[in-house]
Amino acid sequence: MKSIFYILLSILFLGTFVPNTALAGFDLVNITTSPKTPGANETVTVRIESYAVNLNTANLVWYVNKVPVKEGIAEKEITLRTGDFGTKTTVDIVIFTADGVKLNKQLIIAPAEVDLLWEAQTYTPPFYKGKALASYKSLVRVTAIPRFNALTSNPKEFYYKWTYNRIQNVGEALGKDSVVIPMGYADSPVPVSVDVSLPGTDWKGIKNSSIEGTEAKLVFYHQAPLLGVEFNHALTGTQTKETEFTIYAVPYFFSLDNFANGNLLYTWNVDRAYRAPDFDQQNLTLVKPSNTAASYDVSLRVQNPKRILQEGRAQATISFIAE
Amino acid sequence: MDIENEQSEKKKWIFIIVGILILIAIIIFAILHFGKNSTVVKQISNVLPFGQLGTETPRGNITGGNNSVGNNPDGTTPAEGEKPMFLQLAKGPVAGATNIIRDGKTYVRYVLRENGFVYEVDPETAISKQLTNTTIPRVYEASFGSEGNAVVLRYLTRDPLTRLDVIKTYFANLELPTSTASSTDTVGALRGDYLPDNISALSISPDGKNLFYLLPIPEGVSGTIISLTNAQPPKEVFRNSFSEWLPQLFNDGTILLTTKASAKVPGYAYLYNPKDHTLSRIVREKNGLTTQGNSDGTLVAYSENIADNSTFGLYSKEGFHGDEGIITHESSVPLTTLPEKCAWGTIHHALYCGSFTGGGNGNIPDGWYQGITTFNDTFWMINTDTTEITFIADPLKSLQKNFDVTMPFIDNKETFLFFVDKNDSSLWSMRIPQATTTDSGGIPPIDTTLTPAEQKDAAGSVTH
Repeated sequence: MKSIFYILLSILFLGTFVPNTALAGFDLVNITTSPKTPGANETVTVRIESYAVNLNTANLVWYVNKVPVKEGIAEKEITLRTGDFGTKTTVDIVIFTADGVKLNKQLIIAPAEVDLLWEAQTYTPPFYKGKALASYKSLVRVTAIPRFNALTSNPKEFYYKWTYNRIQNVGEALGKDSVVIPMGYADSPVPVSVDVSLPGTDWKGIKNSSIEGTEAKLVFYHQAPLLGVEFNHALTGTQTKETEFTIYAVPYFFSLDNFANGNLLYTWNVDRAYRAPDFDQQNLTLVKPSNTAASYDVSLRVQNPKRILQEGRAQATISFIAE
Repeated sequence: MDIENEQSEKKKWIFIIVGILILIAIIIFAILHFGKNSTVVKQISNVLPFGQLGTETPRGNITGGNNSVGNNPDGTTPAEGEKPMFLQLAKGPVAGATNIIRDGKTYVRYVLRENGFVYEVDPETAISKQLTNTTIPRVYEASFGSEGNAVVLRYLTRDPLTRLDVIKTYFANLELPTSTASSTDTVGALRGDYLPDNISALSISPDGKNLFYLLPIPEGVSGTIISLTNAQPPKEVFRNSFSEWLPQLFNDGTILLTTKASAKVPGYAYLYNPKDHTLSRIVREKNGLTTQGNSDGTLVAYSENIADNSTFGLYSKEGFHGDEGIITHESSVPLTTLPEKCAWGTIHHALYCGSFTGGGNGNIPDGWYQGITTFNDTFWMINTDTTEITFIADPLKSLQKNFDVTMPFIDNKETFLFFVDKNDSSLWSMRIPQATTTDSGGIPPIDTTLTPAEQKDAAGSVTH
């Protein structure tokens, strides 16, 4: 037993004659950071621990980027601030044990930055410039955009580890820069996290985000014979001199697969009586009675039987003016 | 005797008082006359019952019309030689427009939504001429390139099998009759080809030489560049797992990619360089982020939604020089607007915007995109060097008309701001008040300061 101890001590002693970096990976002394994956310009606590070396009696000298910042017996942690994005922070620790042994440890903090972008697989009308929002039980594709300097290089070169709802693993792999996750209820945000690293380097990054859900909604527009759907103006009520008036309903944020598969149920009512829609269920055409003024209260309820809480209602009053 | 003394004493006081009043009047006149631009003068002017003295705001230039000819608000025609500030250039709904220069004169080309015909209008007279008669009904979006000689028309068809909408994108050159043609009534045609179906977004560079479009693919999105000036084949330059981008192509070939916006979702904007396939982040994590860069992307106007209020700012690649030598890349602008309502000056370091008040129920930009929220805009100029703002016009006062500005652009001489009124998709011009230009392209020294009362007065209101 005693001989093993001397062998270990000899190995440690040998460390004083080799370059500092050679012992960077020497595991008798462990370095930990909090947070685990520091970002740029972030306050970080660096600690060392060892079961083989008595650090409580050792004199520890800390260097940050080659500048001494702390020294003392049992000084086992420092707090530092990481540099700007794209710069590395090098922490060197020189340990002088009570037995006169000198040990070196090195830590390089190289924060990669990660942006998390998400897009819900829900319906928005053509040419819509806004974002498709996540609704009840809709699917959301989350994409990571990592970079370790000002520029983002090929995202497929990075290694990704994904989780959502804090504990549920959604996979990890080289080049897996996006995943698809399911939403829950509209008012329950879904936390998503990704750990990103660039294999063979010190660059690491982590990003936590939260995807907010929203209610699906229904909006009416006028489908003009010559102009097409007038997406510029939502329709709540209007007067018209025409003899026909077509309402076009847009089911915003209903799941795209259910919309595309024709799963949505459209229930049109005119003056509180059921009215069969046009061939296209999104349309309802009103016809003016012969040369008399008339006003119609139109309402629509759209349901998604596949995701039962995706539902929307809209109403409008259309008035035909007498000639 | 006592009475005489008393009267003499009274006269003496009357002369003194009258003398003091005359002196005060002379001093006030001197201040107002020789110190027109001072803040004190403006404050004095504001409280005077006879209006603005000593200042010459551009408001005096405002006249307007509600038809093809500009009229004064009271219905009378402008005085001879006086040019209307607002002029309607196209009555029918317009899908897109651009300005061109021919024989040193500015014209506007536009596409009618209902049939896809291209027209050309003289912004001085509002007299239009039909250029093409190729019918493409129900055009939703039109973008011009190649100095107005190429156009991209976007419209919808229905897939007969899936019954889903299909976005068609038709890219065509304008084949116009030669100038030697005998009849001036000859109308040309569009000759072109279709780009792939369901292009999600596209952008033509400000010089009109290249087009960039995004096409959804199973792995995300693909981005392709097409030259509008030569026959080079289309080249895919971008692929990403994330597909919800709005692109803006710059003259140098770089592309501003902004995530589609929603009021409560953080948005990001990146500059993509197709040469080395790198993305550099420009603006990050701003709720409701929308952007618009200048022609070379050195400045980017952006808006964000903070606590249900729309705020506006400028991003500078070079940076703004602040106090004590501090350089910041973002600078807020005290104007409530969206970049989609702004156009970059072509001569001055300026941005011209339609600006609204009110938060649009807090749901900006979603509500505006969905057509649920409309705005009544006033017109402003932003000095992009200093971020100072200058009021230009309030169409509600001068024209009794509300404008919801969209698709704005400026002619090469920076004489007009052209825009489409989102209320009815009509095309309008606004004459930009001219002042002496500076050689450096900086803003000329016109009145740039507004009192809070003036700012409030100038602002429009929001309707839902």
